[in-house]
Amino acid sequence: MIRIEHLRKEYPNVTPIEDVSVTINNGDVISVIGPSGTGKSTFIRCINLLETPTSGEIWVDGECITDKKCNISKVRQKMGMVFQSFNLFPHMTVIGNIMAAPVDLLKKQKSEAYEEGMRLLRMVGLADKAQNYPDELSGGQKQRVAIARTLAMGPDIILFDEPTSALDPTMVGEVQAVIRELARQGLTMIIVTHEMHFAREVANRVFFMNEGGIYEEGTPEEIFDHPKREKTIRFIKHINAFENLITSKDFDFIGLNTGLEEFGRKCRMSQKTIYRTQSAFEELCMQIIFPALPDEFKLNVTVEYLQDEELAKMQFKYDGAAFDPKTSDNMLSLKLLEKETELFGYERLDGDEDGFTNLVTVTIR
Amino acid sequence: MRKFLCFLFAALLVFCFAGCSGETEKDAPEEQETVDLSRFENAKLGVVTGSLYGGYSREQFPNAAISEFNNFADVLMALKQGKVDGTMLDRPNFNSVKRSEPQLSCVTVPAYSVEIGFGFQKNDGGYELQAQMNALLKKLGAAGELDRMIDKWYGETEPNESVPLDTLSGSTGTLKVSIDTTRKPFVYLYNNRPVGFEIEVLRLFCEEYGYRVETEDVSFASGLAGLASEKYDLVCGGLYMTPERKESVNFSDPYMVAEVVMAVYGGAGGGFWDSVAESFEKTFVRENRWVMILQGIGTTLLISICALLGGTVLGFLLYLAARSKYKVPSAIARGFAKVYSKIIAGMPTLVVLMLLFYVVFGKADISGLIVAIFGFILTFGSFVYEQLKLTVEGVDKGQTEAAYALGYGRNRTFFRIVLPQAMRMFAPAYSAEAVNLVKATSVVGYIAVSDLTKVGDIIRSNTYEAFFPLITVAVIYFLLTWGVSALLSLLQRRITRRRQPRKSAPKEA
Repeated sequence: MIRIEHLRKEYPNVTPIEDVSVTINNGDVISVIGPSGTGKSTFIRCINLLETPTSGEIWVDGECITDKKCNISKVRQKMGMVFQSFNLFPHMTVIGNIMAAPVDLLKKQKSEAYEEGMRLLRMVGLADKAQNYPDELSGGQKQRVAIARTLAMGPDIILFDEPTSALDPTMVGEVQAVIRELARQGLTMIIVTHEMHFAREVANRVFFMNEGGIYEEGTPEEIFDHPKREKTIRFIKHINAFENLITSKDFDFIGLNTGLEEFGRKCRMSQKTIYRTQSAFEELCMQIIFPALPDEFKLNVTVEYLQDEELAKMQFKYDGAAFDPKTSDNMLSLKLLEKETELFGYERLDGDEDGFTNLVTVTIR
Repeated sequence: MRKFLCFLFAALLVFCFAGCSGETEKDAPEEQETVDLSRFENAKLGVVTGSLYGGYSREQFPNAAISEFNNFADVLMALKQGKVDGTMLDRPNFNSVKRSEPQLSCVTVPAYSVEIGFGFQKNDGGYELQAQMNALLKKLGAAGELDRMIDKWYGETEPNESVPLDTLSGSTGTLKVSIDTTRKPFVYLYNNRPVGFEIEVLRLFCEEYGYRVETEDVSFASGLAGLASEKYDLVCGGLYMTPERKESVNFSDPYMVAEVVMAVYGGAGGGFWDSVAESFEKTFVRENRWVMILQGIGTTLLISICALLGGTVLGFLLYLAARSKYKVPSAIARGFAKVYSKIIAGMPTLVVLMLLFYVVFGKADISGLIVAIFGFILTFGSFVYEQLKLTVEGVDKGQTEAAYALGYGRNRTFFRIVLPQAMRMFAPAYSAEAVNLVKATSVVGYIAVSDLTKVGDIIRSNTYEAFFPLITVAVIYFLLTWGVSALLSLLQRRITRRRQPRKSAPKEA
């Protein structure tokens, strides 16, 4: 059990953590989410004192580790950490990396440490890489070895500091699978992550960090489906929807297209749906709406993905005079649009809170 | 490697050929009488840098082209190769050179003469020794003994006589004497022991007044500096008593006033192979000079190895002290290391050595060899410290964090995780610096250490052979540095060794 009381961390010109008090029970799997720069990493690095807290107390299994007299190395042996940048020891083989700490610190026999190391390597699926050096592995393999290295010390708690942020999208899955497996085994884990689906499915508690502390805390359903506080609501809405405001015809088209693609991947849209979303944007916005708009305009694009129905919903809102894209004389684009989309509707608005007067809704399957 | 050695040997032969066969077309040696001073009006003249003869040559022959050389052996070489037409020197020196170079002839330059004597400190002790020396010279002169000795040592035949200094058993005290054994025939080496006119006088002096002597082989310029810092009591080395030197050195009465002559070379004798064989014989075989060369190699290796080991230990200790977690010792060590490495790195090693020898340990009775080892330990230690700091800082901070997170303590993290990685970057630089160290030891001759370079110089000035000693020294240095770097790269490979990844994991027992 970890009890944190009034934890505060100051840096010379910024205070990422102002006041955090929380209790983490044995067996808890906690996802720490929130916008960048809200002290998520600082928070978990304080828990094993890689960052020295400015004030506050941290109790681990009844021992106050922020006390000067505490032997922090001993505590860390029972509290593993997995880093964003893996930090494998490049001068040791994979099995060497795993055996080092048990042999050096727990005084295990080499043969015993080797057996245990191989068992862990089989668990993470890398037994055949035991004699390789870290620079011969892919990012995902490195992170799996790093997890095995942490497990070799037999920790009660594992801290994960953005374990998949430095990985290629294709390698995220293999690492998440290993962490999921550990969660099933009942290890206490605290995971800082930007992968919202993963955060949701792996955890039993979610911390949303903002304003120098834990802004809202709850079960995954509470945080992701029914957030209560304003900043949480905005954050959750933002991760479920893609939104972009265009105010010039010279906007960054490629950037927007890439953003669409990333969003689609994050929501696990099929590649076909992503492509259709992109082409619907190009035909409707670039070919039909833009020519009808004056030089001064604002246009808002939002994309939402409804996973249960496998439906992508696109909305285009723009100001100025009424213009229904269906009345456009660009017959080619209209035809293409019809082919890509399920539903295509226009609505005249009286001017919503942001001053938009036109709304086009498109549904893509 | 073998190819390269062949190339070296070929280069050596070419050098010798160039050296020995220059000016073979010249006529038979001219007699002394036929050499006329006016012939040097527009000639090329060689002088030793900083010697009196530079001034004399310019004064006497204002239109002549003057080339400066580092030592007389080089001037002689240039004379033999025809790069210079003549060079001025004193009569005793000429006679001595003439013994091994019969082609040499000379003409007196009547405008000049040089007074030669012994140098003492300018203090009460120095004046007392000076008075004793003057009394002895007077006594020898009155008995005709002085002229007999001058004839013997400065005459036209080699005396081949030793002058033992270690059998002295006086009880008055021990004199520290600097001898410049490159000043044949005043002071030189015969069978690797100092002999010469001045050494014989020195021996008589000690017998007369009951002294024992300790000699140190340094250039007379270093000897004069040592007089000022009271390191030496007496300087031997054919000192010219110039007015400038008289200001800082307390000279004895001149034991002779030597005439100045202009030497010219009259052509070459013997075939190419004969001269190669003779050069070889002179450089290595005669008077067992190979023993000196071996001793020189030994000294160079001793200094290099001591400095390598000592400097490595010093650098490591300094670094460990600087990274200690105890704040006060760490701050002191870091401050000291910073100042020390700045100072040492900012000065040529030679200057550091000279400062140590003549200033810091000027009055202490410490041999040049110890000072040289100490000095090189200091410089190499500063390199090791700086390089360690640099490479340890070069190891990713994530490595330390990962080790901490596994439960490693501060020291274990450093020795088990950080240092082995730093070593991979440290080793190549260390190896290169070790090679530099071996080469850098060649300056220790300045502080009375007979290392390989100094031995080469001594042989050159005793045999008047430039090429064989030089090339021998070059090849030996090459082999030494090659050996050191081969040894270290073996070590380096052990440090950075990495097993080949196996095809499959070994079967568990």
